[in-house]
Amino acid sequence: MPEPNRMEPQIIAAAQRGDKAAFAQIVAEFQTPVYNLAYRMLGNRNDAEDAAQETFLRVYSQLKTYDPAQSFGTWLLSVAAHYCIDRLRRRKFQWLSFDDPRWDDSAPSLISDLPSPEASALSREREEEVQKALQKLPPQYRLVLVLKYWNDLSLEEISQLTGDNVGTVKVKLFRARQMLGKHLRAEPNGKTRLEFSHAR
Amino acid sequence: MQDERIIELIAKPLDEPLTPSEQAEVNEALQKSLALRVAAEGLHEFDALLKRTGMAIPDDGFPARVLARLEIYERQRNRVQWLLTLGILFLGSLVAVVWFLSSFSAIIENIAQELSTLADALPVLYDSLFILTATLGRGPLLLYALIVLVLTLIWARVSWATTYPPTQVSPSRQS
Repeated sequence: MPEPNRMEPQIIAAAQRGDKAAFAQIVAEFQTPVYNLAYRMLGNRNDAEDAAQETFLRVYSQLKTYDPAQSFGTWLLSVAAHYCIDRLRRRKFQWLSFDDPRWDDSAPSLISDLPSPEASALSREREEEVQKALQKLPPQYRLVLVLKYWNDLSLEEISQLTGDNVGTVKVKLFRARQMLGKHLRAEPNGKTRLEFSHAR
Repeated sequence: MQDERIIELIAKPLDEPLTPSEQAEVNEALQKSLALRVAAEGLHEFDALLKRTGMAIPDDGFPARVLARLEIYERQRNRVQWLLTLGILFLGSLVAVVWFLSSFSAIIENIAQELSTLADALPVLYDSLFILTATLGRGPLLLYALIVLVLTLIWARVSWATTYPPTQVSPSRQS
């Protein structure tokens, strides 16, 4: 995630006044963390694209309510996180057809350039495994994991973003790791080495 | 219960450092139990795996797509605002018409009452006019007329006298 301090306050102020060019700069700067959060939370590219776009529209219309004392990046991610949680909640009540584009679960491109096709295939496989396991977690647990591992937020920032206290965030992270470990198979022979919750 | 605590302690350094006593406790537990060692190894592998998993990035042109959607959103919002304004105007007009129709008889009655009050006041107005005319008629009307005529002539003469000569161009500017 881009360092929030790098987002010039002048750009944010200009966007708050309705300057579209300044807003475009904000979108360009934060597109990856927002899209990644949406992809990890919603599980597919189409929904992630739509949710990321919707997040930026919400950010645009709510910019006037942004308090500059707060980190802009954290505020923006909180808008994205709340939108994704709402969307997951609504999804429970939606009837899906097999033609629905959200069934297209192809993994998106990754930032890191990989040296060989084998490495690329392995990385893609690993990526898909993580993504599938992640989708089995309850949204609140999924969110703390995504914020911790992909958006690289501290426990305090996650606490600020989710509205939980730091202790609750720690517990959620711990349980999320346990649950993900149950689902995630690290080895192709089916032996689940990551089931650390079953050690006792 | 003790195992649960040890597992929590094993996971703790992923988020924050262990205290020396906690570290000692973990070390001791790991030495004693193979299962815990496997669990710790699994946990760190898992942590590393998640850290290696890259960020998902949107397709090219994402900012342009957001801005295009923003344009559509703003157009729709403007349309909604217009519709709301027209709706409010329509409702206001409807309420006014309904009110007018419902209180039509009262309005007519009020107008009739006002007109009758005016009709009552007409003789008084006529009286005032006659009094004014009679007062003026008592004065030297011919003298008043002459004064007005003289004043008019003076005004006309003053107006005719205000003809300005053409602007002279100074010799220096001519050259």
